[in-house]
This record gives sequence, C-alpha cells and structure tokens, in this order.
Amino acid sequence: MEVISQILMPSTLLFLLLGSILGLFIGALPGLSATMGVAILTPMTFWLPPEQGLAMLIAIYCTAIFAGGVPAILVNTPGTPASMVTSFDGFALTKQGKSGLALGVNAIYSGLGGVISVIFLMVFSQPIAQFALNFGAAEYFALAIFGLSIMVSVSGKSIRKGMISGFIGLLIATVGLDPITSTQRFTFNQSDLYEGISFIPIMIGLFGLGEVFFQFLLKNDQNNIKENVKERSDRILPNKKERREMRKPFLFSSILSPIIGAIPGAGGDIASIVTWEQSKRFVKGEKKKEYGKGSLAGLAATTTANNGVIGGAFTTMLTLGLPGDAVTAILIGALMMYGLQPGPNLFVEDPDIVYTIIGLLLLANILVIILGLLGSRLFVRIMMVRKEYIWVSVILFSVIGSFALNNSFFDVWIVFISGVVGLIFRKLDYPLGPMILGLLLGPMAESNFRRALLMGGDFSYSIFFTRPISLILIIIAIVSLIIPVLNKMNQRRKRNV
Amino acid sequence: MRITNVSFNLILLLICGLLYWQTYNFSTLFGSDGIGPAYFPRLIIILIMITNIIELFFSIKTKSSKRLFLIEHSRRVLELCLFIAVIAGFISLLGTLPFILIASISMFLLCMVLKLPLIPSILVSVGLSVVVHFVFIEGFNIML
Repeated sequence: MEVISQILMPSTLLFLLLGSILGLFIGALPGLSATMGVAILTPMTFWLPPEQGLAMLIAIYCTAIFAGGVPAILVNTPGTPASMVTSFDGFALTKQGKSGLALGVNAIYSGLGGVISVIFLMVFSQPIAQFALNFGAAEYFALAIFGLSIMVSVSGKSIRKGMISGFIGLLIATVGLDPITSTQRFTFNQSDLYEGISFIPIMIGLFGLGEVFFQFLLKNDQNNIKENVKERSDRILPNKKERREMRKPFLFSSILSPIIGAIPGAGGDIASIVTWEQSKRFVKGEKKKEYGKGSLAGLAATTTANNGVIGGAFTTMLTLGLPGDAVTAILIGALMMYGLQPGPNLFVEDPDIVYTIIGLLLLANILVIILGLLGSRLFVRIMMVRKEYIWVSVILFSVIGSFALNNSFFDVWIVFISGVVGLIFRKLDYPLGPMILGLLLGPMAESNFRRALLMGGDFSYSIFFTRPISLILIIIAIVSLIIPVLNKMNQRRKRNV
Repeated sequence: MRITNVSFNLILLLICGLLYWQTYNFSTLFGSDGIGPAYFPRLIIILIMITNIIELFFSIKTKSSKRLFLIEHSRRVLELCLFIAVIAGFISLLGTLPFILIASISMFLLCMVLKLPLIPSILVSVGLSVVVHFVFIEGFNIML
C-alpha cells in the first residue's frame, strides 16, 4: 500500500509525465536514441528522491522506444534501432494514406506490449531472485562471465572488434583502487583516478557527445524530412475487423518479446525482427502477402515487441544485476548512484524499490498509450525541429550533467574524451555495446573471481567447476560464445559458395 | 580505411605494452601470490593484445576501397575539428569565468560552426545557458 501511495504521489506522477514528454521528443527525433536520452538526463535526477528520479528515467525509456516508431512510420527513418522493422509496414501504410491508423496502432500495441512485459516481470522476478540468493562468489563470477560472453553476440559486423571493445571496457573498469587489497592501479598518482572512472560520464560521452560528433559527419536529410512529413488526416483507432486481424500476432509477440528481452544484449531490435518474421504464421492467405507492404498484423507484432522487451530486460537487471540492453546498463549505474545494488539482494534489502520500479513501468506504459494517441498531430511538429539545435542542447546538458554528478571537472573531461573515443569507434566500426558490458561487469567478475579463489583455500580454479550452478553458467557462457562465431563462419561459407 | 585500421591496432598495441609494464608497479600486501591486484589487468591486457594482433593481421590482409572520410567530406571534417575544439575550450574555461557568459559564447560559436541562422542562434545559446544556469547552479547549487 505504501508503495502504491508513493507512486501515485503528485510529484512522482509529475516526473513520470515530464519523462514521457521528453521521451516523445527523444524518440521522435531521428538520431536521438533512448540510450542517449537516459544517459544525458540521468545526472539531472540525482537531486530527486529515487522514486521520482526513476519515474523520469523509466518514462523516458518507455516513451522513447515507442516514439522511435513515429519517424519510422511517417518518413521511413527509424528513430531508434528497435523501430527499424516498424518502418516496413508503417511507412507502407503512410504511403497508402493511413498514417493516422499506423500511429494509433504503434501507440496502442507498444503500450499493451509494455504492460504485458511488466506482468512477466512481476511473475518471474521473485522466483529468479529467490534462486539467485543462493549464489556465492563462484556463481557470481560465472554469472559475470556469462554476461560478458554476450559481448560476442552484440558485436555486430565484427566479432574481433567487438571483443577488443569489450576487453577495453574491462580494462577501464580496473582503473582505481583494487577491490580486495586497495592497491592503486593505473592511477598515475592522480587522486581523481583513485575511485576509478565513473560509469555514467563514460556513457554520456559515448552515447551523447559521440553520437553528436558522428551525426555531424553524416549528410543531413532534414529538408527531406520536412518535405515528406504531412499532416495526418485519417482515423487513429483500428476498427473491430482490424483489431481481430492483429490479435494473434499481438499475443504471440507479447509472449515472445519479454523472453527475448530477458536475454542480456538482445534488445528491441532483435525482438521486433524475430516477432515480425515469426508472426507471419498466424496470418493466412492474402494477408500474409501484405507483410512489408502495409500489414497491420506485421505492424502490431513489431510495435508490441519494441516495448515488450522492456519487462524482460528489467527482469534480468533487477534479479541478476546483468544489463538487458544499453538503457538498463545506464539504469544499473543510476541505481548504484542512489546507493542501490541491482541483484537478488535488492529483493531482500529494498523490496519497496523493486515494487516501485514495477509500478512505474506499468504507469509509464499506460502513459505511452494515452500520449501516443493524443499526440499524433504533435509528432509532425517535433520532427520539424532542426537537429542542430538539439545537438547544441545535448552538448550543454552533457557537460553540465557530468559536472553535476560529483562537482568534478575530471568527469567533464571524461565525457569529452569518451565522446571522441565514441566517434573513432563508430567510424572504425568498433561496437560500443561490448565496452559497456565490460565496464559494468568487470568489477563483478574480478572481485568474485578473487573472492572465490580465496574461499577455496588453495587458490584452485576447481571451485568454478565443482559447484553445479557455476559450472552450468560457465557452460552456457561457452555456448553463447561459440554459437555466434559458428553462425558467422556459416554465413561466410554460404556467401563464398 | 586499411591504413587507419592498422594504425589504430598499432597504437592500441603500444598502449597495451605500456600498461602491461605499468602493472609491475602495483604494490601488493601479500607478495606475488598469482591472484594479486595485477593478475586481472594483465590477463585483460594479454587478451586485448591477442585479439588486436589477429585484427591487425586481418586489417593488413583485407583490401578495402572504403575510405575513412570521403574527399567531398573533408570540409566537414575540418568543421568537426573546429566543433570539438570549441567544446574543449568551453570545458577548459568552466569555473574560471561566469557560467552564463562562457556557455552563451560557446553555444553561439557551436551554432555558427553548424551554420545556423544568426538570430535564432543567439536566442537559443543565451536561452539555453540561462535555463541551465537557473536550474543547475541556482536550483541545484552546483559550484560552477
């Protein structure tokens, strides 16, 4: 009851609404991603009580993911990677003069997908956390290794480059005082480095400044957007026949997406393409041929998947402390700044915050439906804002936000350097996802590895292979390392043939 | 692109070598027991070096016609350098001059590099700086 009254406090609802409005802008503007938005705005929430700060960040996340579908539908330019598949049927519907209906479907099914994924979170988080409470140092190390093994599957074009990026993240995480003996490592006698390099400034630099620098180099198609965007004039809500057509793909997508979201590293982009492809089996005859040419069923499947992964990603984040995607990686950093450590102990030490997060997610997804339906005319206006003004704002907020974290100029320079590194990595096709995993899971892997060896007594590595959970997790990690490599080799062989 | 990739790999190798050497300066309270403070960093550095050498080999082997920057984009690259320099200047001046002044001037310069119209640029840079000043410095008591 106390949690419900806390969530329904006017101040919390106000920040939830503010976050939703910001999320609409972030998602609807191509080039601004949910990751970037959450990274830049995280420092601004540290003055707020955790429930209000989290309300704002969760609302930005949920709304930006949904709003990413808006430019995908209206101008065939996905606002976020997750909405890439939305453009297949969404833009085709716009060309048929049904942009209003496409925007309506995007709002309703994104929100409903999000709500169902929150139910997934409610049902599965408690048992997973209960199970994870039995974990010791060896199991946590194996869990971190499993999380790190995901860096291969989020490597994109090149596994080698992904691994280099991930290892660099791990190396950066070792800067500062050693977690067991407090020995200085790579500090070069600089007091700013004693506590290590903070995670949030690196994220702000990589995803805020780095993205601005990279977009600066790209050709700007702002004028094309202005020409293509037209005021919508058709209806927003689907009729009974259309709702029936979308029912099965929606149900299928809403069950599958949270499961995909719960896999570390697999986000909305993977879920939307998998569900779009697989949901075809629930449509028969002529309707099947419409996929990619303006199918409402296809659109419902992908939009459900976009927000449907959120509950899954939060399940992994809250119960195991592993990031489900880039945004949950930043949210882990944010929770740590609030003095909360995501993982099974959170359910014992701070159950209220867990229920608060679940409640906020539920409300944020309901807001997605309301704002999505009410704001469909506004989206056209948002997309006409010149990107350059947004870039200038992003720079100012990145600088001031990073300083505000610890009143430290050092953090501001970290943002700047990370921004330049982010640009170089993007230009050279080095993925940033693995680096985040390395940064986040490095300390967990190292401290538990050493603790486990100390607990074993004779510094024997056998402790990792004699404990069943640890052994299973290590086997899963090895399998998830090998499968993407084999897939790549297979693809290359097919291409050569 | 090949030269850039190779250069990047070589620079990374050099940095790894220097950092590996640096790990010998880590003092340890318990002697060298194999899992001291240097163990993990060394392991990671070795992994970076191995993957980097493999990548270097492939970078040399691969013949790519892809360029890091297109010639017609060279002007844009120069503009980006100027853009980054303005941000670096802004950060260096933080805390030395009044925030509204340096933020307004820096944001205005950024708008000019981006070739935005004059009057909206002035309005945006001053407006943004004032809002940020009141929210963060006056509101949240940030010491800038």
